[in-house]
Amino acid sequence: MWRPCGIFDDTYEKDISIVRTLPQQVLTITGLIALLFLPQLLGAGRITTVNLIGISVVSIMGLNILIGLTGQISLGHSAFMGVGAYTLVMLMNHLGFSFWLALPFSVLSAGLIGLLFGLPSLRIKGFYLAMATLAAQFLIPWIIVHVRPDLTGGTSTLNIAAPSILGFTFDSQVRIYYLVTFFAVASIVLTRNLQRSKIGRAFVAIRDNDLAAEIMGVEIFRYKLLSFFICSLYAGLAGALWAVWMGAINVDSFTLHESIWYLGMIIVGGLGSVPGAVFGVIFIRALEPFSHYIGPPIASYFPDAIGAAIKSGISPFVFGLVILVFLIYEPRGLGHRWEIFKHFYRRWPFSY
Amino acid sequence: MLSLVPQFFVSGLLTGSVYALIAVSIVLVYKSTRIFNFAVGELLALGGYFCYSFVVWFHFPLWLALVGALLMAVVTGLLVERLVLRPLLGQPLLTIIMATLALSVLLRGIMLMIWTGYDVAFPKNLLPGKTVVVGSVAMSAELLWAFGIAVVAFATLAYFFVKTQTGLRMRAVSQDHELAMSCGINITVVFALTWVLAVILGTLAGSLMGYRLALAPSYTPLLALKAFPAVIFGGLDSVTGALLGGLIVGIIESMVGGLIDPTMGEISAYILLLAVLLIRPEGLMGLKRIERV
Amino acid sequence: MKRIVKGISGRLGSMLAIILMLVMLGPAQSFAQKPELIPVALLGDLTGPYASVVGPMAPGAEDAVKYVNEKLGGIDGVKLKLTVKDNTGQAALGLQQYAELIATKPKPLFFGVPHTPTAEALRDKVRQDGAIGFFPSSIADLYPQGNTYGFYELYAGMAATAVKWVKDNWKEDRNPRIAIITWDQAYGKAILTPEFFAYCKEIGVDIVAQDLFGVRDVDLTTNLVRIRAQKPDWLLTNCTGSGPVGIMRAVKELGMDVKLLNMVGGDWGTIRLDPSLFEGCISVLHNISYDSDDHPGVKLVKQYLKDNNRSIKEQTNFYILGWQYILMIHKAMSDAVAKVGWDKTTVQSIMNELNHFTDWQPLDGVVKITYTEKIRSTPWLVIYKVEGGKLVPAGGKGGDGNFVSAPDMTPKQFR
Repeated sequence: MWRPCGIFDDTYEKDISIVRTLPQQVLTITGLIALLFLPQLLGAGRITTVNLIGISVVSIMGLNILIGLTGQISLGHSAFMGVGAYTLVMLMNHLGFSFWLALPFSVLSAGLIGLLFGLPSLRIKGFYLAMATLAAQFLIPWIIVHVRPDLTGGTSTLNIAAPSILGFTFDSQVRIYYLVTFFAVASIVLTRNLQRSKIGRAFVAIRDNDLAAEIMGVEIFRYKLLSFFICSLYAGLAGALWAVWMGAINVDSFTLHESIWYLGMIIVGGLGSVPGAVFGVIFIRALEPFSHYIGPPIASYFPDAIGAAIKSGISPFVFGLVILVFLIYEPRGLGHRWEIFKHFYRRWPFSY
Repeated sequence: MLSLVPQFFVSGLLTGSVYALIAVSIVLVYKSTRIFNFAVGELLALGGYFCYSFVVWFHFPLWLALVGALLMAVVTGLLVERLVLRPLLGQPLLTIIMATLALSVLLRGIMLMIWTGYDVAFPKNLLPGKTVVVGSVAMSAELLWAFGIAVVAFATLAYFFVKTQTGLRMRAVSQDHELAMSCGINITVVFALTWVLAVILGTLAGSLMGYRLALAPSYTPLLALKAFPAVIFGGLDSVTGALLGGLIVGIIESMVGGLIDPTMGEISAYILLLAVLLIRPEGLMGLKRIERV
Repeated sequence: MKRIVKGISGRLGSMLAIILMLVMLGPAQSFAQKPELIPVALLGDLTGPYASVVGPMAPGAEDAVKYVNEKLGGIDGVKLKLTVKDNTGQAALGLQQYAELIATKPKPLFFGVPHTPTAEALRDKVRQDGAIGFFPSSIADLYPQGNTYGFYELYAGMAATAVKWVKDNWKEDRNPRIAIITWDQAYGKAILTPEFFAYCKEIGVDIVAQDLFGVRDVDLTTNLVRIRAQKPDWLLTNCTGSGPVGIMRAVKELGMDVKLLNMVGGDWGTIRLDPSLFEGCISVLHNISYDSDDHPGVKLVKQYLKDNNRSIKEQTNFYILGWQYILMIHKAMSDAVAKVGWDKTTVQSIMNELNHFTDWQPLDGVVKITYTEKIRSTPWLVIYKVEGGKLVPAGGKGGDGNFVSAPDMTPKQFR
C-alpha cells in the first residue's frame, strides 16, 4: 500500500484505518456534514436526482466488487435490483412486513438469485459470462411478469407505503435522501474495508489470473460465487431503496439498458477504484437529466424547422458525445485522474 | 398442434436468417478486434433509415436504394472506425466496449434529429412476389427475400474469407494482432474493413426488417437483442457458428413460442444458451483457448 | 476506523435531528391573488417507444396554448405557460423531471403524463403535491379516485365498445369469436381486465385466444398460426406503431380473413405506416376523425397544424389530446375563477369544476368530455373503420360517426 512520506503509523489501529491523517479526517467530517446539508444547498428539485445517484452508488459498489475486484462481468445487475425491489414490495404489501423487516429479506433474495446466475462462472469467462448473466436480464422480468401476476402486478406498477422509523416517515425526497445517503456511505465504507480483507485480496488474485490464483490456493469457485453473492446483495439493497425512492415499482425500470449503463458507470469511473466508481455514477447520472435540460435551449438557437428536429434528438446526442469524448481523452476513467490529482497534491510543489 | 410444427419451423428459420445477419455482424467485429459491439442495434437501424431515405426522398428503386444504403454503410463503418475506435486503439477493452455504448446513444440522437421519433415505413409493394404456400406452410415473400439476401451475403463472406488476400489478412489478424502486424499486415486497415463489413451486414438486416415492419429509433435497435444469444450459441469467434446460432435461435423461438407459449419464445433461447454454456463454455463452434499462467 | 465511525455516527445523529426540523412541507394551495402566468407541464414519452402515437401531444399542447393565449385571452387574462419534458419512456427520468418541475416557482398546477408507467409512479405524488394530473387511462392511473383524470375512456372500456359494436352488428346465430393479441407490457395489457372478460361473457362474445408478444418481436407468424387454429372472426389488440403492422402483416401472409379491432393506438400514426394492410380494420377513437373534412373543429385543428408547419406525422389523435388537455385546463380554471375569484381558487375548486364536466364538447365537438366524482375517464368514443387510408365511420349500429358511450368498465370497488 502506498504511504505518503513522513507519515508513520505508531499503533495497529492507525495502521489499519482508512482515514489516517488529520487532513483526511477533517475532509471526511466536513464532507459528511456537507452531505447532511446538501438538500438545503441544492433545493428540492434536484434532490431527486441526488437520491438516484445515491442509490446507484450503492448498486455500483456491488458491481465494482464483481467487475473491478474479481474481474467477472455481469450484465444482469439491474435485474438483481429488480429482485430486491420486488421482494421488498411483495413482503410489505402481501405479508404486511415493515420496511425494516422486509429489507434483509430483499437483500438476501437478490444475493441468492445473483449467486444462481453466477454459477456459470465456474466454467465460463469474459464475454461468455456476460452473456450468461444477460440471461438473468430476460428471465427475471419474465418471471415477474408471467409467473404470478396476481402478486407481482405483472406489467403494472405496484405502489408501496413510505417506510418510517420511530414515527419519522420517509415520505418526501428530502427525507428519503437521508435514508439513501446513510446506505450509500455505509456501502462505500463496507466496500473499502472488503477490498483490504482476505476476501478482497482473493478477489484481486482471481481478477489478475484465476489459474495462478487457484494454484496458489485460492478456491476460485467459492470466491467467484461469493463475489456474485456480495455484488447482488448490494443490488438488492439498491433495488429496495429504488422502490422507496419511486414509491412504486414497475418491471420496466429494471432493464438491460440500465444494466449496461451500470457497467458504463464503472468504466467511466475507472475499474476497481471506489472513488472512481462514485465519480462515474455522479458523472453519468447527472449527465442524463442535464442533457435533457440543456437540449431545448440549444435547439432554440436554430431556425424553427431545424430546431424542432434538433430538439427531439439533442439530448441523446449530447449524452453520447460527452461520454465518447470523455472516453477518448480519459480512457482510464475518472478514478485514474483522481489518483493523479492525489499524487500531485502529495508531492506538491515537486513534480515527483 | 403438431400439424403446425412445419410452419413454426419454417417461420423460425426465415426470421432466424435475419438474426444470423446481425449475429455475424457482431462476431466479425469481436473476432478481429475483441470488441463486443453494443452499437450494432443502432447501426442496423441507421442502415435501414438510409435505405428508407433513398426510396422515399430520392425515389430510387429498391435495389438501387439498397446499394446506396450499403455505400452509406461503408462510409459509416469507416467513420466509426476512424472517429471512435482508432483513438482508443490500445486502451483497455472495456473502455472501447463502453465507447460503442456511447456511440449507440449518439447515433440514436442523430437518428432522432434526422428522421424524428415517429415511426416511418417504406412504401409497400416494392419487392416482387407474394406469399408462397407449400402444403400447409406459408412463407412470406419478404422473409424469403430476407433469407435469400442473407444466404447471398454469407456466401460472399465465405468466399471473401477463404479465397481473397484481404480475407486471409483479416483472419490472420483475428488470430493474433501482434503476430499479424509482424507479418506486415496493416492492422488498422483490417480493423476499418471489419467495421465496414459489420455495418454492411447490419444495414442489410435493418433494411429488411424496416421494410417488413417499420423503422423507429426506439425499437428497431432492439432487434439486436435477439442476436445476442445467437452469438454465444455459435461461439463469439466463429462466423459459421453465429450463422447457425441465428438460425437455431429463430427456430427455437418460433417452436417454443408456437407450441408452448409465445411469451416464452425469447427466454427459451436464453435457457438453452445457459445449458449450452455449461456443456461447452466456448459455444458450439467457438475456439477453445488453452490458458497458461 | 471504529473510533471514527463512532464519532461520525454520534455527530450524524444530532445533525439529523436539527435538519429534520428544517425540512418543510409544501405551501398552501390557493392563489393569494391573480398570478402572472399559469404554468402547465407535459411530461412523457416523446421520443421513446410510443413516440409515433404519443409524441404529437406536445405540439398539440403547444399550439393549443397559443390558441388559448391569443384567441381566448388566457384564463381571465392570465396566460398559460407550457413546459414540455421528454422522459424517453423511462419512469426514473420522469420522476426526476417531475421533481424539477414541481420545485419551480410557481409550480405547475397541471401535469399531462402520456406514459403509463411514469404516470403510475407519479399518481400519488401529484396528489401529495397538490397538482392535477391528466393521465393515460389505465386503472392504476385513475383509481382510487385522486387528483388524476383520464385522457379518454379506460382501455378496457374501449375494448368493450369495440366488442359491443361487433356483437351489435353480428348476423350469424353463433357468438362472434374474438382473439386477443396484444403487447406484453402495461399499455398493451390494459385491456385485459376481469370487467372486460365478464362483459364479453355477458353480451355473448367468445374470447377464443389470448396471445402476447414483445415490442421487439419482428415476426408474428407463429402467434397468428396459433390464433388461426381457434378460427376467430376478429382480432383485438391494444398496441401501436410496429405492433399492429406486425399483426396484420402476418395475417396477410397467412392468407387469413380477419380484421383488427384496435383502440387509440390504431389512429393515423399507425395506419399511415401501411394503409392497405389495415383496410377494413376498426379503430375506436376518442375524437372525431381528421378525415371528416367539413367538421368546423377539425378544420380549426388542421388550420393550426398547417400554420405551425407541423408534419403530417403529427396529425394524429394525440395532437388533439394535447388540445383537449389545454382546453380542459382553460375551461376548468376559468369556471372556477369566475365562481369564487382568484383568491379562493384552489386545486379542490378546480377539481370540482372538472368533476362536473357533462357532455362538454370543445372544438365544436371534436371531443366530448364527461367526468364525475366517481368516474374519472370520459366515456365518449367514436368507432371508425379504415377505408382507403382514411378513418371513416364504421357503419352499422353504433358506428354512425357520432359519440357513443362506452360500457362502464370501472372496477367494482371504485364505482
